[in-house]
Amino acid sequence: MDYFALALQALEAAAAAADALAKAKELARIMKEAAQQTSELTQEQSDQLDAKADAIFAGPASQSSGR
Amino acid sequence: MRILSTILCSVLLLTSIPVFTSCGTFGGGDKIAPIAEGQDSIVVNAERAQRSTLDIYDLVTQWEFKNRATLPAEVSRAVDAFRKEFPPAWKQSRRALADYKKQKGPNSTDVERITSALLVAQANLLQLRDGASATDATRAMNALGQLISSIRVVFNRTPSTTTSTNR
Repeated sequence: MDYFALALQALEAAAAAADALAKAKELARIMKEAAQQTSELTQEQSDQLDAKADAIFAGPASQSSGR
Repeated sequence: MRILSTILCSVLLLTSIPVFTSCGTFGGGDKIAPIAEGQDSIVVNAERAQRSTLDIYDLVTQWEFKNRATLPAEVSRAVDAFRKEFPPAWKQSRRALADYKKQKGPNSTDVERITSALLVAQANLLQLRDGASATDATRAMNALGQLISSIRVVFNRTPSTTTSTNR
């Protein structure tokens, strides 16, 4: 195996590790935010949550992959 | 490790132990905030689950959307099932909670059951994203089915909201 292939492999491994770390951080942020809630949502916060859900459910990532 | 703790928390919830009050810490040693005095823990825990499942649904669907070219088709199909079934199920969980708050229909056990099912679906969605195997896809589908049937049980027993189950 040449040095270029080895370097590429190391780079891919580093990218995968960085990706996994980013995902873990994102997940931790989501769970932390939810875990910090101590009171029932106000009506305004509740409406905002529903509006956020509507936007997510209507977004491009929510459409079928067609696969 | 955090994913494992999420799954563990969800399993605990299935046994009616509130996840957000029984599992020590989340990322970076942050403690789970205690529920304020005078607040209904059923409502707070349900809202916590609704917020986190929505964010994780968003995370997973975005992940599949961006990585579709390199993912196995079965994973895309499993995420597609969530795209179809999760939004109405999530909205029904919101409706059930609103009815519970108005003391109209669902009782605390109903809301806890839905909250548990939401969190199990969430844990399996995460496993699907990280594992991306056929087994994980099947597990995710089973969790989704469990969520939907939990919601149907609640709404089928509640005459005032029965019509909202028609999809």
